[in-house]
Amino acid sequence: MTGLSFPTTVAPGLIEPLELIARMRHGDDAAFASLVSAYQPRVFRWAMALTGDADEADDITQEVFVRAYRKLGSFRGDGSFEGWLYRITRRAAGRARRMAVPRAVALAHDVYVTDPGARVDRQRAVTLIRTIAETLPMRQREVFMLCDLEGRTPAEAAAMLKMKDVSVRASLFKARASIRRQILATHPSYREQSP
Amino acid sequence: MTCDDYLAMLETLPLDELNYGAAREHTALCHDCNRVTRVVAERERSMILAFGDVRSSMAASDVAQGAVALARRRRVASYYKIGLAFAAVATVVAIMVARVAPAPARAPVAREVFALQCMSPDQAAALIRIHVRDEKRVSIRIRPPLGVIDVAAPSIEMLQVRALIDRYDNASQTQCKVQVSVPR
Repeated sequence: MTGLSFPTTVAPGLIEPLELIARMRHGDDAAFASLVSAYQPRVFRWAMALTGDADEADDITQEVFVRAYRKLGSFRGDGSFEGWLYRITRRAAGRARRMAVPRAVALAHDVYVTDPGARVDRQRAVTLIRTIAETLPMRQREVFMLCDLEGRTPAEAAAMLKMKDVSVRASLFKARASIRRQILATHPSYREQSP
Repeated sequence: MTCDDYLAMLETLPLDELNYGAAREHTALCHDCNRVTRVVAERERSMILAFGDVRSSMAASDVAQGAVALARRRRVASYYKIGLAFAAVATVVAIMVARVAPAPARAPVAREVFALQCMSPDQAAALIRIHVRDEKRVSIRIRPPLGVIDVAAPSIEMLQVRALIDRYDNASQTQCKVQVSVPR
């Protein structure tokens, strides 16, 4: 394979996926590289939240872009590109889960955290994200991730997940209840002071 | 608003929504609920920051290059798969057709016992095997003490056998008086 000319990291909001896809259809692999650059961090986070394992999330991220490259021709542009990519991620994660060989327990430092000063707090939070991935049902996990961790509205999440708005809200309420119970149950100060 | 009411709201609502109205008034007065809210808010904020900060160990350029290479390889593999699938289907169809199609009709086999006048059964059998067009379709049983041969053959071959026997095993013919040598 020839090397792709690779852009510096691009924020998803700054690129126009449809334009890049059109360029890709004319054989421009650099356009694909731009798409990957813009969406790889997000796809990795989704995969991380869906699986709770950084190595698996890396594998899924790679798989998502392989499938995206092959299927971009079928993307009609009637929904958001991000939603399309998310659904590929979800399918890839589901497939990985079905085929998963139990891995050794992942170490807390296998996720790269860019801010070393806040490392302890972050590690605790990453552990909580893993706990979410392991304990919440898939639907609640997805809704919580899209709404509360990524800041989307339930309507936007519903469009991405191809679900009804009301179902998203119901799943979100259940997910929040479960997570907040876990937060309070594991928080040292609350545990010490609560009766 | 009681603490139970407040905690029920805290369980499911976004924290922003607890900053208004009765919920806000309650946390201003209730130290416990205020503390619980702060704990939840702090941990959720930390979780959001951690989630936003999670980074893959793979560079985007490697992911893109790997994806393009793998996608191309899989495309080639899919052509092979399609070819193999066609070959498999064709094989199955051919086997099924071969099984279902009727076998070619066999010619009816006639059976006749010839009483020999001059030749021995071995001589007659050798003669028939040499002269009959398709000797594999002719079955000959020899009964030495009786001087007869038992021939089973399709009608065309049977006609040939009969003509041979008439010609070479006929008492009125001179051939019967001499030792018949099997012609080559």
